[in-house]
Amino acid sequence: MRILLVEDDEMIGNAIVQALQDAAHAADWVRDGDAATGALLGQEHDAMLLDLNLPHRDGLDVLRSLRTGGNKLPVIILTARDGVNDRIGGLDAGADDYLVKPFETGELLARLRAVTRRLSDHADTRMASGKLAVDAATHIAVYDGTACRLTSREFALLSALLTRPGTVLSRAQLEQKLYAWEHQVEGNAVEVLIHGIRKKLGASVIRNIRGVGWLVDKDDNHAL
Amino acid sequence: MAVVGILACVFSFTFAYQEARELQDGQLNEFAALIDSHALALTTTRSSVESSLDSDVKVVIDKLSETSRGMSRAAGLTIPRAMADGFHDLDGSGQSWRVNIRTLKNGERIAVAEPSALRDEIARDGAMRTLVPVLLLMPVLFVVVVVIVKTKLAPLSNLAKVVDQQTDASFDPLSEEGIASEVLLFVRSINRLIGWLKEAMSHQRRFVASAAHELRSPLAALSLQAGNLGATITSPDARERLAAFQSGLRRTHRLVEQLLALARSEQAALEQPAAWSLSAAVTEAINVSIGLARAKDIDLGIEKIDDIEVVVDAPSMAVVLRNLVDNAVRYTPDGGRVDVSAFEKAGELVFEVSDTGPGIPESELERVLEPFYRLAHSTAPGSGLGLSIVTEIARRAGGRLSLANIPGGFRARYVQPLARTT
Repeated sequence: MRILLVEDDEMIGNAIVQALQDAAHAADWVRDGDAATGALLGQEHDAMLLDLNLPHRDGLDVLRSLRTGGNKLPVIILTARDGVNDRIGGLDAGADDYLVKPFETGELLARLRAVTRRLSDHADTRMASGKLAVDAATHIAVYDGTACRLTSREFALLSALLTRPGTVLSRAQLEQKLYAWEHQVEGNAVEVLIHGIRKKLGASVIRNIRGVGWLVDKDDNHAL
Repeated sequence: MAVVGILACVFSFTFAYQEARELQDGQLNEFAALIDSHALALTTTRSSVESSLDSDVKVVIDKLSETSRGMSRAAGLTIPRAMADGFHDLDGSGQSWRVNIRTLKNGERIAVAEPSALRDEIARDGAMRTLVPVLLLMPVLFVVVVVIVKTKLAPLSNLAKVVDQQTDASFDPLSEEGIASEVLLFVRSINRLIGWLKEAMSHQRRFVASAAHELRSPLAALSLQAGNLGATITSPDARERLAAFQSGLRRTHRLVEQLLALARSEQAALEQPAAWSLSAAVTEAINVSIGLARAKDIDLGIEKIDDIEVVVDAPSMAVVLRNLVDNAVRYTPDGGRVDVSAFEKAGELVFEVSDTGPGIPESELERVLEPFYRLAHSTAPGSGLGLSIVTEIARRAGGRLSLANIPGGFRARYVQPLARTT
């Protein structure tokens, strides 16, 4: 993928470019809002990583003019600003996702995959976390050496969990994902699907978090 | 006021009394002078004269001879011959007298006497009369003074109310309208002070915002560089060392975030209350700690939750929940259990986080609320700021945090009054 990075901090810019290149992406790096607008005219990028604190022109302003022009380019905001208002402001202005600095390379790449998957068919079809990997094209899942083919609804549920590994999704959130896939969701559909997936891949593939929901484990759990 | 009134009465009475006595002595003197100048004659047959027109008023005039005779004796008054000229107080039978003795030009000596009781009564009456206006005016004066003071100070007590209502978010200067000129200077000083405070607050707010940005940026670069390093190394030894390095970075990150949260909870204006879904909030707080809980094989889950929306300062409440859950997971040994509850009870919002950890010694329950305080034997990596932040938010939001050791574990409970639920 070709990624446009808009970031004025040299250290961060360099590190992100390196991370993108390591992940086999092409990166164009600009340092201010005006340059970003110029670079976007070519419409040759698959996603944009946008810092909000930019010289000359605010990142939100760049994003607004992009969306006003009807450009649906996936955008992830990178910011060191805090406050919920900033986050809501960014999403309202049309960002697809939001990362607060500092974040880790793996997190950035996972989010990038998630926002681009929605739009592009030629994107990487393989999703993985820890011992679990799922191929979107074949619906074949591999967990700890066990492989099997998932039904499309099982795939929908598992890929929803795999989009944010290590994050608990509630029953309501999972039902929403299934609803997007099929129009009718029975009362205990989520439990039935999870039961099915566990039977195929092993009980520990999906963890139940008491009273909250379900998750699939992240690569590493040393979040100290 | 009462003291001044009483003093005024005492002085007025004393002066009037003295004045009346001097006047009466003058009268006795005048009688004597009249006799001396023969304007008033003492007949030879009657050596003493009694003015008895009124039984109340009595003046006795007597010639002093070898023996006192006549009226003076009749009135029970005996005047010794040897007595010198001038005024004397004498005791007669039954009453005391004021006596003026005078040597006439013809060598005779006379005494003009008046009963002391009578004189005193007259003097007292006179003196008392001078008190009437003061006594009548005192209550009126009192009312007038109270009314004037109240009216004059009303703007001042209004100002006090305005000052009391100030939060660190508002800092409005006091109105100078309708303020008496005597107080105006004071109000202006207060306004200058408010101005300074406001500036200091916004300065601190800007500082925290800049600090957040300036601290996070290099941390972001560091953590990305560590990730990039991880992509190039293959040796298991190096990977292990990198993992240790990254865990140090995360700890630094956490400390920075906690410090910023503490600074914000101490100075920032509480945000406008907004509807906030309890279950979504608890899910979010659990999601923050689920990684650590999974790593420690801790059963982290919801015990009880009300499926309601509450109107609160959502960012602060999220910080409270996150810190309580994080603390519990952090200090609970591997394989333990952490239960989170969030519900409404009697108009109050209650968060309860109980764990199967070792708890906190009773003697240290108070001290753990202090910033940077860490338990003596604690090995869990923490900033020591979590509970301080919660306490600070509680202070600002009118809530309270209570910590208790319970059988088999520990429980933290945060309670805050709710405006209303939806």
